[in-house]
Amino acid sequence: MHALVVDDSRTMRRIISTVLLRAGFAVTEAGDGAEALVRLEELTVAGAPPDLATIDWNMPVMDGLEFVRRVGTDPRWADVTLMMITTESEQGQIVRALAAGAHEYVIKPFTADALMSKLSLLGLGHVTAKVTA
Amino acid sequence: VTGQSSDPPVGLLAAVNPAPAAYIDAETLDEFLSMTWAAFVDPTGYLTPLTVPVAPQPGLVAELRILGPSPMRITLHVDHEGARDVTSRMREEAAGVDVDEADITDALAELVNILGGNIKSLLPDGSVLTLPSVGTGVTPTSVADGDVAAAYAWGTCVITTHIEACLDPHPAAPQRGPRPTETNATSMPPLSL
Repeated sequence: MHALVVDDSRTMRRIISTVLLRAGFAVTEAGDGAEALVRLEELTVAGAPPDLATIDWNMPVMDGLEFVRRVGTDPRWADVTLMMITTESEQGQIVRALAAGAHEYVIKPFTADALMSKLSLLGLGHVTAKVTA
Repeated sequence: VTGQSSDPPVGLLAAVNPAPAAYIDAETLDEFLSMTWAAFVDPTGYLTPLTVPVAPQPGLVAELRILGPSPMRITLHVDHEGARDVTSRMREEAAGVDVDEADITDALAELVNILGGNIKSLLPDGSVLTLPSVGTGVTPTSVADGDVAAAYAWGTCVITTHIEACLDPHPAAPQRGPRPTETNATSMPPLSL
């Protein structure tokens, strides 16, 4: 399985990627929504679109909500599970994200166990690990 | 606020906006920081609250603002060695692997970003986070009325956090920009509260 980790903090990308690698994902990283769209296109063209994208909300260039809107309305990526991982914790923000197309919502701070539980509930993870980015 | 800050005196701000203490108390701030610390820095080494005055010492200050109805500035101060340790822990670096300045800046920025996001959840609708910045500064040693602050020991490191009222420079268009890096990190004056 393959995951696209989108966050403008390289520290947070590393934290999330570490959890996903342990869960058996190959991981590709992007620092904002626009870069993530490029990575997503590349993976799709290569015939290996990700199964999961984790997306921060507040990022420069293109924020996570806009990324979710674009991916959520493109039929090529209908099978990509979109998981927002963000500090935005107000109920209204969560509703906005879900309405935009997010499938899951995780509020920072989170523990590795909590993230693994979310993945398990989604039926994701626990296959052979591989790093590609 | 004194020193080189361009913000007006806290008393003037308090007349315009509720002070941070109207929304968050020290106990809640402690809960937010402790949760973040346990999740990303050190799940076993708890932050120990300090009740004695903290001696000023140089270090790094991560800062962000919450703009909107009750604008406020949130800072997190860590001494240089502590900042290095915090970053290594967050990145789960193997023993002997050093972290660089960009790693440190990014890690502290993310910590204050998470803290700010938690605090924003307690504020009125319309509050917006700015992206964080990181610079150098000394430990804040006094707190104005209406501010919320806390100091902790983590090993030999002292960590302080401080929330104070500030102005919203662009109420209709919050500032957003790239993450702080080695080249664009804000150079902050020493905090003098």
